[in-house]
Amino acid sequence: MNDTPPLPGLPPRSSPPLDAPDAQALIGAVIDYLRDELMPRTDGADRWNLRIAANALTVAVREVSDGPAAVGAHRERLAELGYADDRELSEAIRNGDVDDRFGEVLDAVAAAVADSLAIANPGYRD
Amino acid sequence: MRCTGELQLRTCLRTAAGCERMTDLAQSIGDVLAPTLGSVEIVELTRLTAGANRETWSFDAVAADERTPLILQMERGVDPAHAGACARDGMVLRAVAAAGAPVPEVVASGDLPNALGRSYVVTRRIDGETIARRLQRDQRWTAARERFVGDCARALVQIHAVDPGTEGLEALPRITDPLGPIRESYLALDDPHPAFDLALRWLDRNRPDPRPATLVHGDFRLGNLLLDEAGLAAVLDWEIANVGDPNADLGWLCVRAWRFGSPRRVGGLGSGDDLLAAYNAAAGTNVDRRTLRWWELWGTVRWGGMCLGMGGTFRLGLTNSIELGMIGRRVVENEADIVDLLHELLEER
Repeated sequence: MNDTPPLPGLPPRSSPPLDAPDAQALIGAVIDYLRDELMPRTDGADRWNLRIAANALTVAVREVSDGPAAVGAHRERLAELGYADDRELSEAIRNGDVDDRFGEVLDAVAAAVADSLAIANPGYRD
Repeated sequence: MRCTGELQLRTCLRTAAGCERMTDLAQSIGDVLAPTLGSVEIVELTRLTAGANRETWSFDAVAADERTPLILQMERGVDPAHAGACARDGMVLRAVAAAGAPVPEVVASGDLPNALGRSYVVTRRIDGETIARRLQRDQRWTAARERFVGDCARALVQIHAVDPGTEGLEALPRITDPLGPIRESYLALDDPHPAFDLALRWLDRNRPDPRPATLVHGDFRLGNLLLDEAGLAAVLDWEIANVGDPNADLGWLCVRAWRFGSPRRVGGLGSGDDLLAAYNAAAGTNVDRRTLRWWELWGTVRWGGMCLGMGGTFRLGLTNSIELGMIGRRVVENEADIVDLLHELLEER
C-alpha cells in the first residue's frame, strides 16, 4: 500500500453534499459498459435492445444536465405569451385566440422544440 | 416490437407446447389452402413479425411437383375491433391487383369460421428488400432507386383508380374530413403539445380543394414497399387502407420520418416535384406543391400522434419496452418537422 503513488487532488464535486461520481458520470459509465463490453458480445434482438438501452441513457444524461434550463426557458416563453402551461397555450391555439399572432407563437414553440430536441436527439436536423 | 416477437417465438419453440402449436398451425394452414392448392405439406414455417393486431408467418407449401413460397397474415387474437381485417385485406389486394398495381398475389383469404380460427390472408412471397437503409445505400438497388419516384407515382395512380364501390371494399373506413381522425386521436391522449395544435389550426384554416374520394393505401412509404432489382415489386401492409382523399398517400410518402435520415423528400430517394410531375402526368391531375406540403404536414401530425400513442403505452405502464418508451421521446422529432414545415409554408405566402 505504501508503494502506490499518492492520488492527486480530486476534481470538485458537482452537487455537494452528494458524493461523486454524480448522476451524469454514473449513467455515462453504464453507457460505456453497455456499448463497449456487452454489445460486442451479443447479436440479434439482444444487440438491438442494448443499442436502444444505451441510446435511452444518452437522452437521460443530457436531460440531467440540460433539462432544468430547458424547462425554465419554456416557462419564461409561455409567460411572455401570457400562458401558464402547455395546456393553456394549446387550448388558446384551438380556440383561435392566437390567430392574429400565429407567427410569434410559432417562433416561441419552435424555440421550445429546439431545446427539447437538443436533449432527445441533437443530431436530428443535421 | 419485431424483436420482442422473435424472442417470444424462440421461447415458445423451446417448449413442447410451442412445438405442438407449430405443428397444429401447419396443419391448419394446410387445411385452409387445400381448396386452392390441393393437398400440400407446410414446411419452413417461421414467424416474421407479431404486431399488436396481427401475426405474419412465412412458409413454403410443398405439393408433389411444386413448391410455393407463401406469407400468412392472421389476426392475433379475437379483438372485435379488428375481426375480419385480414380477410378484408384479401379483398382489397384482389381489387388492387385487378387494377394492375404491384401487390402480392392472394392465394387464399377468409373470414371465420375456418381451420385457423381467425380471419387470414395468404399471399405469394415475393423476393426483394423493404429495409430503408439498405435500399438507400446498397449498390444492388441503384437501378431500383432511380426508378423509385416514378414507380411510386404509377402504383399510386393505379391504386387511386380502384372504384371504392368494388365488392369487398364496403368494409373500409370512409374518411370525409381528413383532420377529424388525427385530431380526435391526439385529443383523446390529453397530452397537449402546442406544435400539434398549431399544425391542426393551420391545416384547418388553409385546406386545399378536396379530391373525390378513392381507395387510399394509408401507409404508402419506405418500409412497406418491396423493391427488387427492377424497381417497385409490391406494395405491402394494407392494414389501414381507407376510402378518402387520395392526396393523403402523396403527403404521407413525403413525411420526414420515411426519409430515414436522407435529405430528399420522397423516402430520401427523390424530390417532391418529381413525384408530383410523375403522378399528375399519369393521373391527369393538377396537384400542386403547396397542396403536397399541406398533406405532408397532415401526415407529420398523424405520425406524431401515433408516436405519442406508442410512447403512451410505456407511460401508462402497459409495457416495459424501452423501445416503446423511446418512441415517446421521438415525438419531438415530429414537432420539429411541424415547426419547420409551418415556417416554410408561412414564408411561401
